[in-house]
Amino acid sequence: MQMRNARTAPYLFLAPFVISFLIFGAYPIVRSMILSLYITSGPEAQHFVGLDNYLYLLRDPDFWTAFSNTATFAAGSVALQLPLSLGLAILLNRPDVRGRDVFRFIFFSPNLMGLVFSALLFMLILAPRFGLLNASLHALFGLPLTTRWLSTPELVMPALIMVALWLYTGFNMVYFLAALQSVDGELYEAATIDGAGRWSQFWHVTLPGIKPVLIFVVVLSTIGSFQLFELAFLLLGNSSGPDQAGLTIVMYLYQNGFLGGDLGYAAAIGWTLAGMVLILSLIQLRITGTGKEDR
Amino acid sequence: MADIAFRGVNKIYPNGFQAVHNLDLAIKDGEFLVMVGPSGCGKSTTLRMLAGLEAISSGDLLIDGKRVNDLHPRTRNIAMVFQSYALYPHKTVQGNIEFPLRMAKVPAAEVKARALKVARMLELEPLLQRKPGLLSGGQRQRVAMARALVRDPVAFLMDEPLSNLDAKLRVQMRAEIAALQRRTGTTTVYVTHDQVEAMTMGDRVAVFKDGHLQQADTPQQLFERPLNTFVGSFIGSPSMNLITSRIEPGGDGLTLTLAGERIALGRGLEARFEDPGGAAGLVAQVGLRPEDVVDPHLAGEGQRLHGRVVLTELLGREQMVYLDLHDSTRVVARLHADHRLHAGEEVAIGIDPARLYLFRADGNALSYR
Amino acid sequence: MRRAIVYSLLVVFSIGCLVPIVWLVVSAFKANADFQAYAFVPPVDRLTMANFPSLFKQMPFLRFMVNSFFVAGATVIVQLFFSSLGGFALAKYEFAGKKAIMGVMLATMMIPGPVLLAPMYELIYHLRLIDSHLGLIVPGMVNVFGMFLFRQSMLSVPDEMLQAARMDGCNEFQIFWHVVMPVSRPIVGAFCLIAFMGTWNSFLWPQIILQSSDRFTLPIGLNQMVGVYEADYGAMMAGTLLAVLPVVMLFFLLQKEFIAGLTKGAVKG
Repeated sequence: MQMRNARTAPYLFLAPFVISFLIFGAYPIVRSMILSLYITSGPEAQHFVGLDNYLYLLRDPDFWTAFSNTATFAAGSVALQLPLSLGLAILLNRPDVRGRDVFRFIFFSPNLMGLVFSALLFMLILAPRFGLLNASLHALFGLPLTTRWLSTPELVMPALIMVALWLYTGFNMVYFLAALQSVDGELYEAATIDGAGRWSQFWHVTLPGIKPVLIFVVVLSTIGSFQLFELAFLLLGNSSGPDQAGLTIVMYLYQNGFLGGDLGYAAAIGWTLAGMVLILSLIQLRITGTGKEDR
Repeated sequence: MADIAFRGVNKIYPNGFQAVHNLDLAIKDGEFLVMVGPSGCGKSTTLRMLAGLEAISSGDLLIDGKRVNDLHPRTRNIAMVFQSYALYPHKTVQGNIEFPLRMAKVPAAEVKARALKVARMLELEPLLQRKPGLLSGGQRQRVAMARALVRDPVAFLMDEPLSNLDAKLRVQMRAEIAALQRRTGTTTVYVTHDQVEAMTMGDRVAVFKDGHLQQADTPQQLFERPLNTFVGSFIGSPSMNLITSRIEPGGDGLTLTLAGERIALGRGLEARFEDPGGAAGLVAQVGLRPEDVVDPHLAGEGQRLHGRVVLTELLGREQMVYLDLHDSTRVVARLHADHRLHAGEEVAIGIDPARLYLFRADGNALSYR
Repeated sequence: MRRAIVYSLLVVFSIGCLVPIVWLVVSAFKANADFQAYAFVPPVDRLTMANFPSLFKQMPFLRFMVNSFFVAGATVIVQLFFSSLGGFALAKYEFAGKKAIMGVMLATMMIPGPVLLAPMYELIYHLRLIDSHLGLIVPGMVNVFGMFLFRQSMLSVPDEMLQAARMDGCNEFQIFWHVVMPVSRPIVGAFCLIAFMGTWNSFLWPQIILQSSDRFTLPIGLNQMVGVYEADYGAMMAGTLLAVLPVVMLFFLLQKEFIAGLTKGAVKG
C-alpha cells in the first residue's frame, strides 16, 4: 500500500496543473496553428484559406511598418539597457560601495510601477509644455518646451525606448548583480596573483562567470521587446501614433484580430512573431556559443 | 516492543544492482543491534527496508511474527533518527516532538503531556520553544531522538546518528544513547560504519559486506571468534595482521612457517579451535592482532619473528611499530613504549600461539570450539 | 577620488530612477491649474487633496480596485496551489513520463504569449466567459514559470526530511502541506509577489475580454478614463498612485524573498 501511495502521489499532485495546462496551454497552441489557416469573422464564421494569411501578411506594408518599428525598439532597448544595467551592477558590486541594498532598491523601484501605470505616468511626463521631461530639458539645457514627443513620428520610438530604459534597467541589474556576487572571489585573487589587471580580470574572470546570466538576460530582453504593446498603445492614446510610428507587431495583431474580428489572421501574426523571436534567439545563442561548450 | 526478523530478504534496484543478498537476521525484543560495515555494504538499505522507506524485492520482513513488507511506514509504528536529524526547521523543538503524535491524531492534551515527558527525559525542556536552527549539534541530536521516542514505537532505527558530531560529543552521545536504550528497553537497530561505535554500543553487532551479512554476534564473540578474515580485520583497530602461511604437523602439535621462520603452535590452539590437527597441510591465513604481539623475551622458544622496523608512531605509553619480516610481509605491532624502537632497527617480536586466528585459504575461519 | 566618481554615477542614476516617481506623488496632490504653472513642485501651500474625491466622483475607481484585487487574488491562489504541488511532484518523485512532462512545459515556455490570444479568445467565447472575471482568472491558472520556480527550490529540500515525515505518519499530501510548503516559505513569498504583479498589471487580455465598465480592472479602467477626462491630470495621477500602492506594499512585505526568487532560476539554471 505504501509503495502504491508514493507511486500514484506525483500523478495526483501534477493532475490539476497538467489538466489546466492541457486545456489552457497545449490546446490553444495547437488550435492557434489550425486557426492561422482560416479567415474568420469573430469566433463563429470561419473560412479555410490555407497559407493565405501568411502570404497576405508578408505583402502587407502595415505589417512591415510594425516589424520595423518593433525591431527598432528592440534593438534600441537592448543596446542601451544591457550595458547600462551591467555597468551599474559592476559599480554596485565593488567591495568599497556602501548602501548597496539601498541603491539596488532605488534602481529596481521603477519596475514596481508596472508597465501600464508607468505608461499612464509617462503620458504626462512626456507631454509638451508642462511635462517633466521638457521642463527638465528646458531648465538644464534651454531646449524648447514644445517638443511633442508622442506626436512627432521620429520621436515616438526614442520616447518609448527611453521609458523602457527607465523601467527595466534596474530589473536587469538585479540579475547581473546576483550573477556577479556568485563569482568566486578567490578567482579574482588568483587572477591578481597571476598578474591580471582590471581589464583582463573583467575579460577573463567576470565575463565568463556571468555569461549564462548575460545570455539569459539578452535573450529574454529581446523576446520581451518584440512583444511591445502596452507601452505604445497606452502612450499613444490607444492608437498606433502619428504616421503609424508606434505600430508594433502585437498592436497589429490586436487591431486585426480583436478590432477587425479576424482571429485566424491574428493567429497567423502570432506565429510569425513566434518564428521571428525563435530565429533571433537561435542567432543570439549561436553568436555567444551557448550549447557548444559544456559548462 | 517487538521481535524483528528478516527471512531471505533481497533488495534489487531497478538498474539491476543488488544491494542486499538473501538476508536472514532475527532481532530479539528489547535488543540493541548494530549493523556495521564499509559504505555500500547494504546496512543502510536493510535499515530503510525495515523502516518501510525502501520496497523489499523478495523475502519476508516480520515484526512480531506478522509480515509487514507492504505496510506504510506510519502503520509499522517504527521511529527513526536520521543522519542529518531531518528536523523540521520551521517548527519549534516542541512542534518537532509533537508532530508524529499530531499526525496520529492523538488528543491534544495527551500530545502535550507525552512531549513534555520525553523532553524532560532528554533534558530538552528549556529548549522547547526554540527553532532547530538555534540548537547545537548535540541538542539537535537529542531533539531527533525525542521525536522518535515520543511515539512509543515498537522499534527504534538510527542511521549514523552521530556522524555529524565532533569527536568528543560523539563519545558522550554514544553513552547517552546506550543508556537511554537500556532505560526504555525498546528494540533498537543502529547503523554505523564505525566499528568502535558498534562494539561499544551494541548488544549484538551484525557485520555486512557487499550486501551479505557476514556475522551477527555479541561484540566479544566477534572479536574473539570472527567467522572470516573480513570480520577479523574489520573489528579491532589497528586491523589484524593477516599473513599467509602453511600449517604443518611437527614436534608437539602443529607448526607454521611465517616469512621463512618456523613457529611452534604447541597445544595453545586446542582451547579455541575444534580440530586444529585437521588443519595440518593447509595453506592458511594467520591472523595476528597488533595488540597480541608480546615481548620477545617472554615468548617461548620458536615463537619469535624477526624483522626490520620501517616506521614507529608514539601513542603516549604505547608505540605502533610497523615492521617488515624477512619476506617483506608488513606487520603492525602495538608495543609498550618503555623501549622506543626506531626505523631501520632489526628487532624480534614474540607471538602467543593461543591468540592467533586461523583462516582457511577461502577466508573462512577454522571451526571454533 | 575614484570612489567619488563611483558614488556620483550611482547617485545620478538614482535620481533618474526616482524623479519620475517623486513627480507622480507630487502630481497626485497638484491642482489641475498648477500643472501648467509649476512643472516641478508647486509651493507646499498649493498642494491639495482635491484630486482624490474628484477621482472617485468621475469613475467607479473603488469598483476597479475591488475587481483588480479579486482577479489578482484568485489568480495567485489558484496558481500557487497548482504550481507548488506540481513543482513538488517534479522535484521529489521519480515516475514514468516525468521527463516528457518537463520537456513539453519548457518547450511551451518558449512560445510568446500573443500566439495564444486568438485561440484563447475563441475558447473563452465558447465557454461563455467573455466579459467576466472568470474569463480572466481561468486562462491565468497555468503558470509554467512558477512551477519551475517551485521545482528548482524544492529540489533542495533534503530527502531525509521527507522520509522523516513519512516515518512520522504523514501521507504524501501531508508531507507537502506540513513540511515542504512551510520550509519553502521564501519561494512562496517570491512567487506570490511575482504572480500578483503579473496579474495586477495585466492589460492586453482584459482589454480584449472585458466590455462592461463595472467589470474593469484598474489598468483598463484608468486607461479608459484618460480618454474621457483627458484634462483632469491631477485625478489621473492620483488614480495611478493609488493603483501602484498595493504592489509597493506587498513588495516591502516580501522584498527579501522576492530578490532571492527572481534570481534563483537565472543563477542556478
